[in-house]
Amino acid sequence: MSKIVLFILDLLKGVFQSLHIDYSQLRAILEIKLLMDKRRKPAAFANQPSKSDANTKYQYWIAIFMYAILGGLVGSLIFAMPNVYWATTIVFAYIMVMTIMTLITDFASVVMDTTDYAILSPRPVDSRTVWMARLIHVVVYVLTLTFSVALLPIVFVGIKYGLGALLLFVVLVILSALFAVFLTNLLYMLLIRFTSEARLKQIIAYVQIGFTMVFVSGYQILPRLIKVEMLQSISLEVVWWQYLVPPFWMGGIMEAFVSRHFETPYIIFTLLAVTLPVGIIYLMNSAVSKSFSRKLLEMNDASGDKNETGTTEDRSKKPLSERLSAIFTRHPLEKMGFELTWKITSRDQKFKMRTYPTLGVMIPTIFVFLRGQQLGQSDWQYILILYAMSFAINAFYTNIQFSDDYKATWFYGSVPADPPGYILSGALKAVFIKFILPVYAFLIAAIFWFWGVDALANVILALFNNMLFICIFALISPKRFPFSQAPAEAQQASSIGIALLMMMVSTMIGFAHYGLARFPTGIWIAIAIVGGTVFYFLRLYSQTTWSQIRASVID
Amino acid sequence: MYTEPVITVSHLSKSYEKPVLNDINFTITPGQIIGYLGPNGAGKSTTIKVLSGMITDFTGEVQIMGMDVRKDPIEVKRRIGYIPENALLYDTLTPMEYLRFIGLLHKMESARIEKKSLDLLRIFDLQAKADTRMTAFSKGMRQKVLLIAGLLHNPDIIFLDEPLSGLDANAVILVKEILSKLALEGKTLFYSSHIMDVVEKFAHRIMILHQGKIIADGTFAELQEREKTESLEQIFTELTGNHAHQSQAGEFIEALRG
Repeated sequence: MSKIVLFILDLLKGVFQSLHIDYSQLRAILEIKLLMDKRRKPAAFANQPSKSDANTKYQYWIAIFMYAILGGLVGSLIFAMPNVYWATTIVFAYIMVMTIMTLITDFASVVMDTTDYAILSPRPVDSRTVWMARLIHVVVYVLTLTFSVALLPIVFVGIKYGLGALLLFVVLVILSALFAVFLTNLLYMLLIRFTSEARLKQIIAYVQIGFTMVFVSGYQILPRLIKVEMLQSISLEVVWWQYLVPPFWMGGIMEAFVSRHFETPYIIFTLLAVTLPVGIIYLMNSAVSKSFSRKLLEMNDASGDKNETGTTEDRSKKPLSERLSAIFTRHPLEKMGFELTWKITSRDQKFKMRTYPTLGVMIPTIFVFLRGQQLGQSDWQYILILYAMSFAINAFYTNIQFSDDYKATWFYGSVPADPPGYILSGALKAVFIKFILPVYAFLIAAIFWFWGVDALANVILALFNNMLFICIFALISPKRFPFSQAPAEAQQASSIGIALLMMMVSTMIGFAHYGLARFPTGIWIAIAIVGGTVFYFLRLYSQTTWSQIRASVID
Repeated sequence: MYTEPVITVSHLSKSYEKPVLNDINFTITPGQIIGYLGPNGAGKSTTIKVLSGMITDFTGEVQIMGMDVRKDPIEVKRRIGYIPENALLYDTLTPMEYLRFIGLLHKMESARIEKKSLDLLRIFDLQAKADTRMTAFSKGMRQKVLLIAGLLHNPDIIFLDEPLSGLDANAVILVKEILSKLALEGKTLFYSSHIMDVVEKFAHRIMILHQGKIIADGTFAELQEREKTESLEQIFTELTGNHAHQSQAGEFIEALRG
């Protein structure tokens, strides 16, 4: 891959030299940039921790393969839909969204990277060469991504509409990719102009979380939304808003070519698709780009020289975590575990990246059940929703054990904690109150809406059951202090045996509840019993001894 | 060999939101080791960044080997080596890959880069790690790679920012020995540090920077003479104005009891 890129660059050597760019340095920078890309994971898979170094070699190709498969799934619309206009529009939309999202998430860290500045600035390289290297790097990256996504759709178009259409499609794919690059670039320029670096990093982090959520839930929702009959009967008519959405331009051009339509709308599409990218380049090259690179330099410079002001917390107000810990915890160690968990989960972006996407799994589940309800299915269906959440919810608890700063938890071993279980139970309580209650509050709202107040008792019981479920899980799993494990170990964290056992337990609890749902008084009795058990298990958990923790440290 | 001053700084000032460097003046002749001291935030790193052509928006004049750093930063960077304090490297590369990259930026030949890198890594006992990615390297190992990367192109002026941090005792002795030999070769070393006793024994000339100004400049013997004190540590605290160590320590103990 990088050999091909470097070969093409070698051919263009003269062009670069005429632009006063030092070609040998440009080549050296791109060579290592491409090498490092190969060793980096795309953001879409970032929440899956890497297992070992040996695997990273193939990660790049695995990612490319994944993109190709997903692109093929979307591309299959080309066969499923009778008209080329909508089918290719959807494919182009997918390519553009994927490209923009990846640029924002995956590439932001690269563009904003101050390591580059620290390493390159003492070397005899001029900024024009560095700038060009960055631009080429972005374009190469995007084209690889785009073509891995577009590979199968290209083949499909070729099979269905012939070689001419295939070639046009390839050109339009490249155009879409460049369009996405320019749009993202413009977005960055605007953001950088109007916000600070710290703010920008925050925005990017939230976009990343959002992206992963969309990624996870999108693949579950979309296929359920689209029905085959819908695809067959879609209108070919061009509606005004389609002029505002770039993928339609590309789709329009395909339609014009394949079906020999040459009416006004298609000419407008073609004009838009060709002139707008040029317009954006012009805009970037004029006023904006100068201030952009200056700002970027300033940013780099400042971060290298000034100490960051950092985010300060207002100590005069007692934070929520401390007010809650006063209510829910008694033992000082338990308070410590509670507050530490609460605060770090609020601030650690990596934790959010790992955890919030699981909420994305919940959304389609709710969605599917609610559609069932509209069709007038069983009244008790919502009970199943409540239990379908169990596994997603469990992720909150397992994820608090992991942190990139796991080494910072050396202090657990140095404090005279007795029994250390209080730290664990404090952390567990924080998970209950911070994550599980809000999720249930949301579910309660949804269930009230559809099923009314009668469902209340069932929701409370399900909440307690889920807490019980997590307590059991915590008690039988290896005991680990919060944030004390390296993320790479996350996958080995719970053994398959425990996972299977827990799946059985949760199913059993779920069915027991389902059976009990016929007897309203029974529900209330069950709430009392389960609530008591949770309370007792939390006590039990807080009495975890050092020897139990050490035993699990060894394995 | 160059006998003219290799570094000439006159009326150098630089400010971000507030002034960092305030009218700095000095000249340095080749073959010297300059110990550049100062409390945190005094402007040491900023000085080095200006002298090495990394920051060009300052006021005053700075000449490196007769070249104006503002007009000719690239040419200046060709002749200097910079070993930064922040141990930033491209972690996912191996030392050999990283050094090759640095060598290519300095337009060295591939074969020569490889030979030199291997030799230097071997001398630093890193040959076994030459082809291991640096992700899991310790601070000391990174520091060794940074030292090699800064010196690979055999620069005439070398800027060092805490170059011994993270190194074990044997490596510290080796590095100090190497730096002394480089000075004998006629190279100029600009050494910024907090470790007083290293600077005391090792620098030909000591400059102390405080609040953006140079408040002391001379050999260790001269400074001893002027301040009438024995150790560099005493001279440093004397000059940078912190005389309250005794009472601060007392207050600290008092606060612990409370």
